[in-house]
Amino acid sequence: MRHKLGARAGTAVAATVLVLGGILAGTGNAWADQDLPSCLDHTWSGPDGYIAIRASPDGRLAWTAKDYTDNDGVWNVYIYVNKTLFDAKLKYAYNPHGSIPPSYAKKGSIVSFVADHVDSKGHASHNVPNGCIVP
Amino acid sequence: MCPMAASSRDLAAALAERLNEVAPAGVTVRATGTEVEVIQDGRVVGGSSAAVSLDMDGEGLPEERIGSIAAAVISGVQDEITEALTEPWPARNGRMVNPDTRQTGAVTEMWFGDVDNPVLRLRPITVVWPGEPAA
Repeated sequence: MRHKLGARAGTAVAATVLVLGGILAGTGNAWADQDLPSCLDHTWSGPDGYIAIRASPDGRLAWTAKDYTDNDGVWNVYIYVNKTLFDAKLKYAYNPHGSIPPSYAKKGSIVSFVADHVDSKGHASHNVPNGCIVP
Repeated sequence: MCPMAASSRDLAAALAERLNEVAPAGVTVRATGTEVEVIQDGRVVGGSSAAVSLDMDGEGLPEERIGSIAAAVISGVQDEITEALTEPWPARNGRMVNPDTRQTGAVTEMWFGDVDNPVLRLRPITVVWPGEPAA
């Protein structure tokens, strides 16, 4: 999947920004942690899609990623808690979603995402920096 | 308790086996490589790729991550089964209960609900690391 994205970029098919994500996962760092929003209910929107996260009353964090126009193709999403990989949804043929149990997303933890998507027409998208603080 | 070797594929297989033992009617859970997949009507409806992180560098000591990986996998499977059934699973008083895990040495316990009064408990996993004698 990542090779496909790289090859596509090499043939001048531009990768566009899908959503926010990644700075806390080690792909660059433009924000300080204190600038991050709460994970209570937040959506990182981009020109092609979004990642959203919401906390339930019992502390579970539910998240989803979505392309505005085409959710088919291939998705890869990595979910980090405090910069350590917690979960992954790899080579999904539809837009993935998931959750983080409260015992693994304690108050003050930082949750972030790295995502990429190649839609059914071969259009590649990826995340931009994101992250949120567990309330 | 049959110990398993410490590989991402074996971990995925062990988790899938235990989840499949408790999966509700109409849903099965299987491992394909490092993926744990939920199957309904012969179709993969989701799952978790978290076991792959056991093989990834820079994520901390593998032997310390089994509990976290197990939590991600059972949380992901719970999400997918709940969606497939269109009702919370497993549930107490109609409400979905949170998954949790506890890793004590080589043994990882997994359950849904309160640790002292779980709604559902999975068979524990015992991991044998290279160089360690099997229990």
